[in-house]
Amino acid sequence: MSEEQRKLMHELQIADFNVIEWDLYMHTHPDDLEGCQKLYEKTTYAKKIRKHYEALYGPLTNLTPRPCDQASCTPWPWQV
Amino acid sequence: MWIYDKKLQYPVVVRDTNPRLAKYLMEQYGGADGELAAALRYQNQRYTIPDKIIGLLTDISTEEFAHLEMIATMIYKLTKDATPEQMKEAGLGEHFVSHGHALFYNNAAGVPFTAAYIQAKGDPIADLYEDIAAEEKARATYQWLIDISDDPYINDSLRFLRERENVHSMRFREAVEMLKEDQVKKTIF
Repeated sequence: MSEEQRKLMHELQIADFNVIEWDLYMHTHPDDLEGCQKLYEKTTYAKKIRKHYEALYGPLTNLTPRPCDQASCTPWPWQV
Repeated sequence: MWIYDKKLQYPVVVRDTNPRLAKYLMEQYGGADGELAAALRYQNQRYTIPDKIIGLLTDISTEEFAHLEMIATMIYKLTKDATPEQMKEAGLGEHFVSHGHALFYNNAAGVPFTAAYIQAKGDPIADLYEDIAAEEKARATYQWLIDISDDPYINDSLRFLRERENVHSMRFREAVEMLKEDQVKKTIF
């Protein structure tokens, strides 16, 4: 894994973490409008970073289409 | 359903072979208060919990599986290059003859995982109190692991996991309050 890829992966981990954290918060604070707005922003940002990562290094989940001539360039997490 | 996302929730860095530390970490892999127990407990309680708590149990259960993968990554990398002699010295001789370098759902003392560690009572308050206790026990286990480990890279990941237990505990406590509010609400039918 190159340094650039590792950095972008790290950025995605942070972006996704924000989504997870705000999601949990909203489950017990369903009326918090500010929180709802934050969750929306964080989710939109995480989606953008993921799209950027996957365009460069291939799909992270089976839901992103993978061209047949393109190999996945992301190693298994325990093989990094 | 679940979709696999090919990344860890938080980075795990392993620089040295350390089967002794791996043995200790197995407490959070297949132990009573470990990540597997947590993930299975919450996922199974979802079906009989009030609707407003289902999402919380679903998301925390899912996150516990991500934590299980982090612990697995630590154990795998700490032991993959260990010789049989090193495994023996670390107290993993018995593990090695049964599993080689494979992982298994044992606790730190080598006791295999059992569903008897977890409960589903069908009573929302009883279930949520168990969940809060589970998070606090897991938090304490992470503290003891950090205290006994001298690996700064592993400890960084363990501190993240310890903090997540705190957040989950807080969310479960809030869920209990939501249910209590419903209990005292005067509804005219």
